[in-house]
Amino acid sequence: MTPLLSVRNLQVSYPTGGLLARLRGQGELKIVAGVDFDLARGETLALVGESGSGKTTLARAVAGLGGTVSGQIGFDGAPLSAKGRQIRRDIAFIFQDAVSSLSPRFTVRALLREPFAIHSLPCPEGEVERLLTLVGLPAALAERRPHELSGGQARRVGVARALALKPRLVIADEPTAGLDVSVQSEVLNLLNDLRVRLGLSLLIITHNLNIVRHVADRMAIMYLGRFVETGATAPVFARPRHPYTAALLSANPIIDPEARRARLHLEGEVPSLTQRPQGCEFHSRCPFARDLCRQTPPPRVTQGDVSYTCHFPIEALRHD
Amino acid sequence: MSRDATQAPVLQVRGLDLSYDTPAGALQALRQVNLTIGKGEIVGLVGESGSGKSTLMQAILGLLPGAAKVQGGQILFQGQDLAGLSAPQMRGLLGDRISVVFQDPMTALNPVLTIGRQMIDIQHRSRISRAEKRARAIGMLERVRIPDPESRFNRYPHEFSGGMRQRVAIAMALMARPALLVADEPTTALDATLEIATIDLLRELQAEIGCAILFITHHLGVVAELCDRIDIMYAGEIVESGATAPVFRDPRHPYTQLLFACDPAQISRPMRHLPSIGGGLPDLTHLPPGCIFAPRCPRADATCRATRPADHQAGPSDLVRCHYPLAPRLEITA
Repeated sequence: MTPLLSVRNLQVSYPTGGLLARLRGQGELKIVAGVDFDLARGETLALVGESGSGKTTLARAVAGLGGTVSGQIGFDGAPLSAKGRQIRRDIAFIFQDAVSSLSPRFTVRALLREPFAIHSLPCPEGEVERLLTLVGLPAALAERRPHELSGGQARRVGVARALALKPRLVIADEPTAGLDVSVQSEVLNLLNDLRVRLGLSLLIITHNLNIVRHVADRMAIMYLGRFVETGATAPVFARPRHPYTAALLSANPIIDPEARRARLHLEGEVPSLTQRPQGCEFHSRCPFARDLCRQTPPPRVTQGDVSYTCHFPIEALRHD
Repeated sequence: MSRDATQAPVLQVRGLDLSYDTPAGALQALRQVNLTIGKGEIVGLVGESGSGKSTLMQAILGLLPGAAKVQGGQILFQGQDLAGLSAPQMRGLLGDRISVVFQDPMTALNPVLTIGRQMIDIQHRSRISRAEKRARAIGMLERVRIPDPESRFNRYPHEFSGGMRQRVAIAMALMARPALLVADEPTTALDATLEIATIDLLRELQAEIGCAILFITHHLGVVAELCDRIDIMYAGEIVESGATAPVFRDPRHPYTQLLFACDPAQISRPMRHLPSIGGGLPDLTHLPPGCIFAPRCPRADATCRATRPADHQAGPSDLVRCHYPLAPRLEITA
């Protein structure tokens, strides 16, 4: 079966600098520098990376929102660009800041009817109530405005809006950022229930590794706009090959003070996108970098469920 | 870490009651809050949004908004009641004996002054020459691992990365070698790798300076990594308090147990359906007559709904505000 979403050599850049630089063809900052992935129907993929790694830019490009895009994005076997406006109904986006992505002057009812109006579709009788029930909110909430909602409720309204037109792919940008842990699990459970019930595919962008482990089938770790490691969630957590993955996993504070694992410290700061490092782009922060890493970009290696780009993958996490 | 009873605590909050005037009536934001920070201790104050942790911090720092009214209780800093201090006396303490690091370093630093200027200005109390102040500031920047501090000294805050800005804010807070550092979610805006680096740095500087730290966060992992003690707040009350590791192992208050169980980091086996607490915060203008957590507590009975619980010592915890602090742990399933 063809995957629902198929991305090949996707590059996204934004113009920088003045007109002169742009005329010379230099004023382009490559945020996403060539990524490939497939997303199957009903599958959840988590994009993981630190601020500035290009997660959000990648997701926005997939949804057709902004940036100069090259490469191929296929949706349901056809190029995304050939699908016209229909794509806006098939791919829904849940924005990072739930409250500010809702217009403060609209009631929840108006907000939920808006997607139908935009696509000149009739909004069926009782649809607003159906959507509110779907995301576990009382129907009475329909007359409220966004400032009268709690963070968790606003997030649910965002989910309801995304689901209004029965999309097939939902992209959630940091769906739990700023939520308390108890509410966070409610939102994640909701997304997961809806995925199962409606057969959705989910693309979740997050820097919270703790939630990735519980919600994602597969994960992709981004650094400077490229995937350094991708694979099924369990094997990546159990045995990260790329030092960046290992560093991210080990930077996750562990509650059990007795079970603390050896920590991998990264050196320096994330390099500027205007001056990408030569060779392996991670070498400037990698504790294991050797001469080869500084000269030659590493090839992509695929082993079973996992693929990574590193000359000297970690054999096994050492325990102290 | 058990407490040394002979040492006078740096900060002691006793029976603090605080309310806000709202159109709907008095909002009882803090009720009978007891908090002790020993000399050189790192205390983690944990609570979800609306738990009152920011109000408590503002009360300690004397930064309460006008609508807030302290109804009773004491805040003793090194034995001195902060409530009785005049504004100039309080200003004399802040930035000298008590320092603060806020969540967002960009708003804590002045964007139109260089880092160097701000680091010299903050030493306005010391009677040393400008050159010495400059040298101290550069030394402090080196201590917080700002690469090449000499050349960065005359840079503006926007020229630093987020992680560096927070380290500069920490450097400034610790310049006066305070007795108490209040850190309000200092790592929440940082990425995981930077968060860990910042925590390691705080721990290192704390050991060197010997100051006590009140670390306010909602991130349980950070508390486990950094803090000697943990205080858990819910809806304006401290519901449990004790040494960190034992409390994590055997939390006694049902809220603490549920909070720990909801944290995906605590669940070792991957599961699609995560536990949640259910329900919401009570309306603090109309308090329930009994325990504040009773409406959401799976174990609440008639006593819990009718009577406010007292603070008990139970198991590893020095304080548990629950009628049944010794009850077996809740069975929590998703």
